[in-house]
Amino acid sequence: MNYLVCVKQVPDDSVLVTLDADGSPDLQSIDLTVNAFDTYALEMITRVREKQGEGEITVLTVGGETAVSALRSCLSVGADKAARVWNAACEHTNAKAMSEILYQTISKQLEDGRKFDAILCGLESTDTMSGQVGARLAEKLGYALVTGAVSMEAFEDGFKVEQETENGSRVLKVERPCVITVSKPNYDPRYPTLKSKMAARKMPIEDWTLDSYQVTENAAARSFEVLPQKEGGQKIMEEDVACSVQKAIAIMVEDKVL
Amino acid sequence: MAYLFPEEDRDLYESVKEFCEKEVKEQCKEFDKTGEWPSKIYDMAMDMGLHMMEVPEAYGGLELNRTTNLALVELMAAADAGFATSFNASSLALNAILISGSEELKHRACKILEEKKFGAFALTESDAGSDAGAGKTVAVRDGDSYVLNGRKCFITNGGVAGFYVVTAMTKKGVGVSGMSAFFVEAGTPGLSTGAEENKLGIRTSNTCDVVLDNCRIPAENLIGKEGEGFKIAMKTLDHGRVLCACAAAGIIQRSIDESVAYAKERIAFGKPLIKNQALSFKIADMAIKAETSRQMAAHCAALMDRGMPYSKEAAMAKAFAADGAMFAASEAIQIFGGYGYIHEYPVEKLLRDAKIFQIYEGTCEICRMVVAGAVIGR
Ligand SMILES: Cc1cc2nc3c(=O)[nH]c(=O)nc-3n(C[C@H](O)[C@H](O)[C@H](O)COP(=O)(O)OP(=O)(O)OC[C@H]3O[C@@H](n4cnc5c(N)ncnc54)[C@H](O)[C@@H]3O)c2cc1C
Repeated sequence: MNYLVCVKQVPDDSVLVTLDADGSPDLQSIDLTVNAFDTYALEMITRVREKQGEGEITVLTVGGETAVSALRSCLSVGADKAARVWNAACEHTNAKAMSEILYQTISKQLEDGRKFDAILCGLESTDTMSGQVGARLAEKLGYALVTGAVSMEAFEDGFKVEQETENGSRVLKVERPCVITVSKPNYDPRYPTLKSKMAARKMPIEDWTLDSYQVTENAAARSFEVLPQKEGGQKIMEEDVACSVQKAIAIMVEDKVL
Repeated sequence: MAYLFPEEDRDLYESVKEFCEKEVKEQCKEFDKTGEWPSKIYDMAMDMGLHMMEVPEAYGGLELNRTTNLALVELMAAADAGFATSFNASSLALNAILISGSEELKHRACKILEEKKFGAFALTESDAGSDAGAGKTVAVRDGDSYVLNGRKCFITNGGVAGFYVVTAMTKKGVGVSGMSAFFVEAGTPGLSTGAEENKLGIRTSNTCDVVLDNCRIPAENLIGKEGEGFKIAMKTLDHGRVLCACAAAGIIQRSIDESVAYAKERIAFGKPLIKNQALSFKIADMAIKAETSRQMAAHCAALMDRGMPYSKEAAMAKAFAADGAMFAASEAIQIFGGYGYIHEYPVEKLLRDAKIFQIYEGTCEICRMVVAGAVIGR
């Protein structure tokens, strides 16, 4: 089996973002890392591969020179191969354009005789959070799509995928080839070993960039706003404890927590 | 930072830092309380390969650049000094064999490490600590074997090791030239361990007696030649002291990090504590000691790389860093005030952990004796 995991390099989301003088996010000083959801996708498919005892995992990123470190990081925790795409068309893209770039890149690989039984994407990226790329890619490829997977296993001629729902989960069977977007499973991605880190440095990174891309822009970000940090929670100060408890329960019922 | 390791090793540094932050630092607080062996943390650390950093490539290890290795040891100790101690003690046992062991012993020891087990280095006895040459453990040659009898004490990893390097007297009446070193695998009949010591600090490491009661080992388990034991032990400790210096630097750095974070938040007399020069100078003094310790250790690594002697420099580095760790941990408590004295806050543990660095692998007095001896000469 061949698997493709699309990964994006994003600014570390544990750091508070501020706006620079012209009102756009100041990302200069923030370390770059692999989008968390993409690391979940890579871990999930690595586990499938380990259980099956066979399979090849390729990671693909659209990104500049710095994105090489994201690919190396993936190569140290399960990926066998890595490919990067980068040219002028890839700058300042939004979700729609990105899915077009991915689609055109992957189509070329398919034409060249490669085959992907499953293409995995993170449910969303932690920077722009549009959550559209995986779904748009599936649509363009004409592949089956499962979103928000929290676990998966190989099953008959496809995969059994557990999908997160509003109040729990459901298990779907999906045939190959398919696109699966991955949410946070109930495990954490593995740590690289020092050995795998050192090995990843020497692995080749393929260049899958096409000569040209046809991309259509859609909604583009016009302005940014940083909201003041939330004060911790809501204060409930009724006359006595019993009233405070009643109020708290009422709020939780209203907010559908209970 | 004084560790000028190759830029390509930055990824290792970042990975180990993340691992220590997420899996060691907070978790070890709990084990510090209970004194329990944090086996899950050690398992994860070994999955990552932290026990293979110094193992040569030829024996299946990572053979990291020396300076990279030192930087990683500091990170590990900054998260938890007991955690770093277990690996450092294992490194002592490994190095004794790498320094003088036969090809076969090197393979056997590294194989055991590869199986995710620790090594232990057993030199100290109840009446032979600083005066290690006064050891009473004996090894008697009997055909193709040696039979070991004696009792070692305060042995780090004693209860959890896969192999031991044990010193024992093979000849009486000739002082330290009668000492030899042996490789003993865990599970060898006659080798047993005593109760685990309940310690002031580094409580996530295991310390206990190692008892040899008619423990018979093949003659090829002799490390080097008969009579070379003391020399091997001293060379091994030279190497170990450099790692100790880095671990102590880790405690100093942690003292700095905790102090700065706290002193920026805590308000007294209408301003953050850090705004008082009297306190910011404490931070500066800690930083001077951290950086100097690193530079001294890194210098030892440079000497090692050139195959030059570094015994004096290692003793200097270890004594300086150990004293620095005690100073820094104590100053960190001072900056925290009353809170610093309370278990709930992170700095009293640093003081408890720091103390051991003035004691094991040659006390600060013994290190000064080494330095004085080298400086004064005959
Ligand atoms: C937690 C822990 C882990 C340890 N791990 C190991 C291990 O893995 N392997 C191992 O072999 N040992 C280990 N040790 C033992 C340790 O190395 C010894 O405790 C240390 O060398 C000191 O020996 P001692 O305890 O016998 O003290 P002593 O030698 O009795 O010394 C007592 C005091 O007298 C001072 N002193 C002694 N002689 C002189 C002198 N000539 N001049 C001036 N001052 C002097 C010492 O510096 C010290 O302050 C460990 C100890 C501890 C506590």
